[in-house]
Amino acid sequence: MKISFNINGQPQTVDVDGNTPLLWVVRDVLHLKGTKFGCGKAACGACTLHVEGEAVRSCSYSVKFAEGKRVTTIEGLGTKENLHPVQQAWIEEVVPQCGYCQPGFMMATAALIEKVPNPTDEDIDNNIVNICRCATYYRMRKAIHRAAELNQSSKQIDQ
Amino acid sequence: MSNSKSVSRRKFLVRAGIGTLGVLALGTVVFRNPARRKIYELAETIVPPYSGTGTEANLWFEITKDNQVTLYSPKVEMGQGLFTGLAQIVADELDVDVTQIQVIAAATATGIIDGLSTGGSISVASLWQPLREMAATMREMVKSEAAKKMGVEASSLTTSNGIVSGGGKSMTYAEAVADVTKWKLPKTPALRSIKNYNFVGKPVKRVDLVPKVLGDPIFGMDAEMPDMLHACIVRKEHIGATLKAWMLVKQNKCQAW
Ligand code: FES
Ligand code: FES
Repeated sequence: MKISFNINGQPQTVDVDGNTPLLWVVRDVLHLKGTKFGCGKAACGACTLHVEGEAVRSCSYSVKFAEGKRVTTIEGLGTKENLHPVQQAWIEEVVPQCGYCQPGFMMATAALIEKVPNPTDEDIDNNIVNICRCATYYRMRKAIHRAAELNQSSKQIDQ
Repeated sequence: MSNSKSVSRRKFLVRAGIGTLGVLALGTVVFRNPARRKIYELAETIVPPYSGTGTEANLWFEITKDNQVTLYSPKVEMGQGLFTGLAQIVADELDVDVTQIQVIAAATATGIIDGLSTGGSISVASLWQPLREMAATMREMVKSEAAKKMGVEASSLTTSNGIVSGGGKSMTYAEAVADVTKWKLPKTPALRSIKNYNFVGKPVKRVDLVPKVLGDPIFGMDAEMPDMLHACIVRKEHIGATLKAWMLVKQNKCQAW
């Protein structure tokens, strides 16, 4: 089945079984390896990416549902020269340890701060429910607050 | 300044003018058989290609044209901060800033028996001495080339942040070692006292943050090989369920999940 969507700003058409999880299309067909596989059961969040700006667990999201939509992966979040506020905050707070879970957390955070510009600790607890085997949660929380701050100031500059 | 412990004599391997990236590379064998990895042989398959025959070395690093240092680690970084530790060790003897060092996981050659996995807190302990010796040796090699190019005595030169200076002149390490084709390995210089180190023992930011926040393909699972097939475990859906039958189908007929 042919499915067309926009990924990281580029139009893309893939020819796969429509029930293939978006994660495997992104990783194995489009060779974007930043999105990770953890559980395959929508339980860990390692595979989080954005579909129409919403955080989605791509291991449990059939590619056919992405038809005509806008998909963003970690590769499309920011670049080395132009880091997204979340990536910037993650570096400032030295969050990653092994790094495996981090793209999922960063994508979840990027979606959260668009909806809740100033998340409280409670907002974070309720919305960022990914799993980190290295247990970087403490620094992650600090980085989420910092990302929110950076995001707001970058928006003010834009205006 | 000098370390009272006697410095062991090691066999260092020099590569100069390799590929388009490196301008000076130094390597050594730190593990004995059968754990030895043939990184040099493997390096020939890495882009940019390395010239020369496959001389065995399993720990090596190079100064690149943009005056950065690339260190190929035989040990795995899995969050424990090892790459940062290795960069700190190199920075203090080579006189570069820790941010000038990029640590890369050296790829494993196929069929190598790796009796030395990463673990047991031995990575830093086992690489500590050879890395310091290599870094100190490389620093002296850079200095003597700079001395020739500047027309001064090597002993009058000082090094810091990847720059050699003396007699009112200065040049980067990369400039000093550029176009040098013949190298003489000096005797391993005396290592510095640990209390004079600026990076070892001090808090520094991890050196592997950028690839990790960009989602770079740095994990085993991200590797792609020619004609590679992808497989996934299908687990039983109910407690107590047993396997009744299975079927082998051609790969291209098995795309549904
Ligand atoms: S891999 Fe998708 S949630 Fe764990
Ligand atoms: S940083 Fe290792 S799993 Fe989160």
